[in-house]
Amino acid sequence: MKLIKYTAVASLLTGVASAQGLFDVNSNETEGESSPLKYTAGVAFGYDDNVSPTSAAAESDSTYVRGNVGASLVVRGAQTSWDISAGVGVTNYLDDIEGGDDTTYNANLALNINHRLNDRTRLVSRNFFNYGLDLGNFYGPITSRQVDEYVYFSTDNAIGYRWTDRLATYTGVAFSTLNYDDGSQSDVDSYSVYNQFRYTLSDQTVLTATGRYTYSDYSTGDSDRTTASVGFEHRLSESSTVAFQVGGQFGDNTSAYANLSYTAQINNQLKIRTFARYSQEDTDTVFIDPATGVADRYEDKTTLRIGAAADYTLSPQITLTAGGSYITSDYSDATTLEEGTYDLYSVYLGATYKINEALSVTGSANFTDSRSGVIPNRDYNRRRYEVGVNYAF
Amino acid sequence: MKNTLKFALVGALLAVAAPVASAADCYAVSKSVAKEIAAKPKHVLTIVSEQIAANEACACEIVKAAIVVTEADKTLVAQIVEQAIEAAPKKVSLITTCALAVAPDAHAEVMEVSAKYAKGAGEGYSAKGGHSAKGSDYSSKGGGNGDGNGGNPPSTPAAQFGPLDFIGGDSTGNFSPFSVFLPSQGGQSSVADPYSQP
Repeated sequence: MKLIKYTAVASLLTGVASAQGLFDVNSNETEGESSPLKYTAGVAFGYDDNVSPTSAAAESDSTYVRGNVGASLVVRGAQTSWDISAGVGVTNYLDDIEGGDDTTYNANLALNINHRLNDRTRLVSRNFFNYGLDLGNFYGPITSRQVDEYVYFSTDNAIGYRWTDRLATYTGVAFSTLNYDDGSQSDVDSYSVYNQFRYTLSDQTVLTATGRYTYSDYSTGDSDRTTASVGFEHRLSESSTVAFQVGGQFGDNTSAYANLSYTAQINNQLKIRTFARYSQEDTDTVFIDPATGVADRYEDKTTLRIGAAADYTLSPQITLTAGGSYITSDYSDATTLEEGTYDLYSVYLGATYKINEALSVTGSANFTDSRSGVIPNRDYNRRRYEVGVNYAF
Repeated sequence: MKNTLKFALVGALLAVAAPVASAADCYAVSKSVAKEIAAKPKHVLTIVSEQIAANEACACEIVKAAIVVTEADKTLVAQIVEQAIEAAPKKVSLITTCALAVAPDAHAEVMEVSAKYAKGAGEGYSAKGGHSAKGSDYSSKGGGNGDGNGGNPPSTPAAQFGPLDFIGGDSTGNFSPFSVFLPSQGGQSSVADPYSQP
């Protein structure tokens, strides 16, 4: 039933997009310009030395073959801007995997819309759907690769109103759900309402003050919190920006809250982006207690995420990417599980060689070091190496 | 169950694609232009001029292709922009924005050319700029040009800047740099990250 629900949501989003005459899809919402519809298809061959690291089974290494297809479109219009991206993929591990499936699937769909109703009013909608084992170490709600595929769906819809030339508000509602195929007790639905005041200090700077109430519903209980923050968005130059928020989170637990984003196009060749965040998190809080064999939930999880990545265009044909991240989470307030910390370090190195406008070859290496003496099955290392061919048309 | 989902998503993907295939024309034009310029780099200005005159709706893609393929220095970027604007004078802002996207180093040179042609170009975006009483936000009198390029973007992000515009997401202020995909749980919104699957 849930499958039908999520599939319907995905189809609905796609249908809406088509109905609006969308002709362009792009997975990168940071694009400032329209980009025509692009399809991609790719195959990759790789080696993973720890395919199912969070399972209780012994480590399994394997070579794998992966195939994926996707499409992306960006439309940046004077009245309406939107972008959409979609992709599906399948990975087949050529060796037997302990504690995991030999074949895994993933799919994602992202749709962002910004529509100017009039001079003063805007609608902003951002929607994301993912099915798979992991969204990615850094950006996803789950920091570690999971044993079973899960659905993650998030929608955030806000209406913005400019009260004066300098003052505006965005008022919105958001919903996200995390749902595992195996009916795990890790499932969680979160509902939020929020309001953000925005004051234009100058052409380069906007001050922000945000209040958000979030209610999270687990299969084993619920929680709620209020987040209050103040901050700013600042354009350092034509090609670099910084945004920052700081505040507190109040509810079942109380903690500080901070969010920092910095991006810069240093020159024609180099682009960097950094991100940091300190916040309470609702996901990835349920674990099987090894002592009792019963699922238990940490009611307090506070996480610091720090990451940076750089893209360097060596030549029109070659682009290099390097990135690293550090995620540390403090877990507490469980019934039987012991309090503890979970640290995750990741490094990514990648290169793309563009043979022509349509065909490119990629290579990447990904290193993960997960450390936790307390959280079950989170003490591991993982290395992945991959080469692939992508065709865009 | 997994198969059902898999096929449904493939279907959804195709549903996006089917009604919009014609919009890929500019991509094809840009590929053709890139090939032509790569073969005759000395004729880049002529090629830009001719191609934009023939495919005005694809001015953005043509300018970007020309700059990228020639690995243009600041002077050549300005020349390409000037040639493009002369071929499509109503697309000053679009051409300017697209050039700056691939050659931010040439900002001063590009803006100098743009300013020369901006007056009287009659584009949808107001030239009032800055944070004036009426010019601080999108004007409904301007807007899309209906050519599939989604309208003419502002010559600079600041030209239409207002409190509803986000700083740090995309350059036209549509989206916040902070997560909206994962507002209360996870990190950043960009899907195009290096920490990808599997």
